[in-house]
Amino acid sequence: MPVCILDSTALDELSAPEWRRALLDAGFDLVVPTVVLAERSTGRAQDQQLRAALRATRRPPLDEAGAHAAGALRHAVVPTRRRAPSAVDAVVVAAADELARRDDVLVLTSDVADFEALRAHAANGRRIAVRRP
Amino acid sequence: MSKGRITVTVDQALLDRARSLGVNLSAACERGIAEVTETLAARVELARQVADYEDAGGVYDDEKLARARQVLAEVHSALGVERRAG
Repeated sequence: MPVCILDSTALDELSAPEWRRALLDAGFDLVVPTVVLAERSTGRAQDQQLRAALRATRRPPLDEAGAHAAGALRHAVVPTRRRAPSAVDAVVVAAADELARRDDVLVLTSDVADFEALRAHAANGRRIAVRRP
Repeated sequence: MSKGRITVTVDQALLDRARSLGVNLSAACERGIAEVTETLAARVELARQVADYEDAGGVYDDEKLARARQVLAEVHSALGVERRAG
């Protein structure tokens, strides 16, 4: 089953019924690395819509191996960019790289340039597609 | 520690449910029971949210829906091409 990983910008799209319908029809398995929530959660009542959308996703935690993989990707990109990608973005691509060992992976993000730079250094980058929602 | 075989027993209803949601239980079982459960639960929840929206008389924005489907179709196509090239 193809996997769709969402970053914090794409999480907003997941709240739209059109995207939920399309992702379900296309058979994607939805994944949101838990670290992404640090960029979206506010701890306030307004998180209700976010929490509802998250129920349709898997939310793998960040372990030590994943953190090292993200750090390596981020470090590899630094010489090629004016600014380093965020640590959260690197974690998202590292998670995509791990899942791409056995599945095709779509990364939905509004920040395509940073994610493409990270994907270029991923071991399984050929099985990862980065698209804007 | 020896490596043992793990036998997973599921009933027909769960098999049918998984199939209807596009989850390949046989393949997923090879990855571990926790992930199977998590994947299936997420897909069931997604299907429930879509059904609830439709039952409540929700109307999809045709342009947004078409755009979303176009992006996903492009992704399937792009990944297929890249795999063949690799």
